[in-house]
Amino acid sequence: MPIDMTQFYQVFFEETQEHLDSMESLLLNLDISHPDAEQLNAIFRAAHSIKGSAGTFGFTDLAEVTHVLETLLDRIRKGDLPLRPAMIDAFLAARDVLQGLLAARRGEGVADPLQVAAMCKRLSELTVCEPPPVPVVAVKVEMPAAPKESAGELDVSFVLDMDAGAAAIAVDNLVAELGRRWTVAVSERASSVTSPWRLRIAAEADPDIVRSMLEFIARSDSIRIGPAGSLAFAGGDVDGAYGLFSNEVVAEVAAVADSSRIELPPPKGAAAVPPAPTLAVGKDAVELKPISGADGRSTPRPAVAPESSIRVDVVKVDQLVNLIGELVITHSMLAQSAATLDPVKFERLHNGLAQLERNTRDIQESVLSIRMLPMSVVFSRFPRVVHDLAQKLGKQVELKTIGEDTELDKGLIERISDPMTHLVRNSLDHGIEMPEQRIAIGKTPSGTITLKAYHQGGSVVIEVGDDGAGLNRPKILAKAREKGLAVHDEMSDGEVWLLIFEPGFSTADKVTEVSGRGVGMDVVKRNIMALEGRVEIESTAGIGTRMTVRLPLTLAILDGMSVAVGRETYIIPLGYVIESLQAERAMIKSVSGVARLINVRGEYLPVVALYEIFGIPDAVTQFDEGIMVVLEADGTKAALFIDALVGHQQVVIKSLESNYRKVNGISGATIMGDGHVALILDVAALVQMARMALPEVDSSGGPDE
Amino acid sequence: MLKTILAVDDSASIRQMVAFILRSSGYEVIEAVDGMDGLEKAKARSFNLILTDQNMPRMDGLTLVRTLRALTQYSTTPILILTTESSAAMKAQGRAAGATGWLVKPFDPLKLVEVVRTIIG
Repeated sequence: MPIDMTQFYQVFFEETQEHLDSMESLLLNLDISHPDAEQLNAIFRAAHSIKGSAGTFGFTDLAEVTHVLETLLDRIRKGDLPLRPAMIDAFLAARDVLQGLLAARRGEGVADPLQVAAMCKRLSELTVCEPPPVPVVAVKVEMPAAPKESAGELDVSFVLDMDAGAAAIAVDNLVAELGRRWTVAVSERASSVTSPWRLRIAAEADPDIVRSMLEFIARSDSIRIGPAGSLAFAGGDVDGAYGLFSNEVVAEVAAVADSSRIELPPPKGAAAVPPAPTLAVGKDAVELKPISGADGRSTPRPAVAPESSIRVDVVKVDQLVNLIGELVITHSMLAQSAATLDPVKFERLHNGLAQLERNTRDIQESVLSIRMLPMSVVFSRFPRVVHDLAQKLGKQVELKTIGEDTELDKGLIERISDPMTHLVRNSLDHGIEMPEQRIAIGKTPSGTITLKAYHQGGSVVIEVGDDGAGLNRPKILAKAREKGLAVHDEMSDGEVWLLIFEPGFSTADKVTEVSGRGVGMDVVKRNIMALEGRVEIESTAGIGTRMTVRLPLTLAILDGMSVAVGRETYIIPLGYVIESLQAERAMIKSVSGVARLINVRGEYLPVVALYEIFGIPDAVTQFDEGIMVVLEADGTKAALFIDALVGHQQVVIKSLESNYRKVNGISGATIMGDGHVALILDVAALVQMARMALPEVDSSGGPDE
Repeated sequence: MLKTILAVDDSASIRQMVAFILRSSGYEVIEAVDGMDGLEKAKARSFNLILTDQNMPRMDGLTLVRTLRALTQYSTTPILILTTESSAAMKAQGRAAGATGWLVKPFDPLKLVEVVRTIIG
């Protein structure tokens, strides 16, 4: 029966990833001077599990590294080796090597055999470079690894092919015959006709001759010959890869069960059965007892609950989101048709539609919640980032996380991880001071980085805070001048802090490997903007800095401002809106007859008239009769001229491109509560148009209606 | 009627593979994710054979074997321990706990079927 093992690979990859993740967080939480036995066990078990499965699926490199790791961990948890900081680092490095190997098996990247060998060497060196403390040696001497296996001797087991009466004589003859050539002893007599006999023969015995002699009296398929110990209680294979404990256990249990007194055999009673190895059994059992005791039997473990979740392809969930959008539209259409019907005569229809609307909304909320993941998914990578970086910089940092249960759309979770890593690195590198500096100004030597997530209104707020030196205002201003940026000393702190998001801005005295190259913060801001998010900075010299990132709950839903132009409704993503105002004629200036500028408190902004861009009839054309909405995208501002503000609402985004085609100035569409389609404005493109001072329509841009 | 096997392993990949192989060989297989789960499932119905991993959270294989052996229902049911450790000490412990036999991981899937056939036919 050929078995396609590849079908289990995916499960293996996933569970190994889980083990690696838990190994990492356990290692980072381990108190080196007083390691918690339960935690050590959990780390050991993770390595052990990976080894077992990796071996089974033929991933020998993974199995090899975990084997060395497991051996070392086993000795540590048994108190055989003291835990040292160097070990934690080596274990973390080993975890990373395993991660690389796993990725390679997944088809991402290539495994490096040299790295594997180097890792195994590094780990095995940890076992020898420091002598274990004295009492441990004593324990070691006391405990032989296994029942005494006489070097080189052979074990033979077989089942006789005759009835009980003849057996004793036959075996006696055999032993006498073998005894003429080699030293031989009966190590175990068969307890019944079908159970095996065991002999132990001197090393020089020729297995082939022994076998040929046995074949006269034993069932040939029952003959097993192997190195001493390998068949200790085995009726099994020579290689010892599997076996049955001699039938006695079962037989005895069966006998007790057979006898009419239904008396349970005490499970420990079975231990008394094996004759030869009993001593070893007792000893080992005593020796190993505390370990198996700590193995999880006694302590309740909250982490591992039976699986209560299923993995679903995101595509399926998105499909569901779309279908529900359709449902909303269908409902609107029905409701509109029903509105013309007599409310008394069709009371039940109206009630039914109201009910349908509520149900639809509930379904929509439930489905969107499926896409939500807890922030802990993002936060969980930071203990390691902080640990490694703090070590590299020689700083002491404690990481605190708050609000890990806060949920965020899966798409956002995946894309917020990198910007957050940048912010954390920045805090650690530029914010937190060196321990001696901290002590000098009366702080604790260890700094604190706090990650916090919570919901506020329709958005998720993520804060990265540190209790470090705070941003240096004069230094930032000096740097900005050097860069030729327009700055002045009266700028508010908030404005000054935002300068660090300018491209190529870095105040680090020296370029560090970590975060000081000045690329980064501008990328962070751009990435966050791309997620319809915003980032703000608060900082106090000597106290610390807090970066606050605000993100929408989901990318499928947009927080928008709906505006009217003519008979059309458009949605402006709220994140881009700075303010809206009623323009006065005096504020508008024309430049060369085409481009117009509006003076907003001394700042001249280009004006984009939406009715012109999209060729909308019946719109307000006088600038002092409509509304100007000041927008900001990519650091540039512009004023958008519309008829009126309609309201603030959350809309479900539909792709215009996949349903129609790409339209310049439009990023998508949505269906409003009344069933009408409203287009979502692409603010970045509109601002760009305004800057180009070309307030003319893209030839393909107008809506067809 | 199909012979029923309980496969207990915290590693989903190994457990699913064992279950797959045995199902393809004509056995009914119920899976359990650790010793505790295995014990509950064992109590809920009867099995012709129980395969259990040793190193598991919540309840390890040896404890499961000992606990099962104390039940009238499982006093004689064959129980095999799947372990990565093939040391004599491990075997001695397995034997003392009342296990019927052992199988060392990694194992050849065909060998598993062979062993199971030997025991329960």
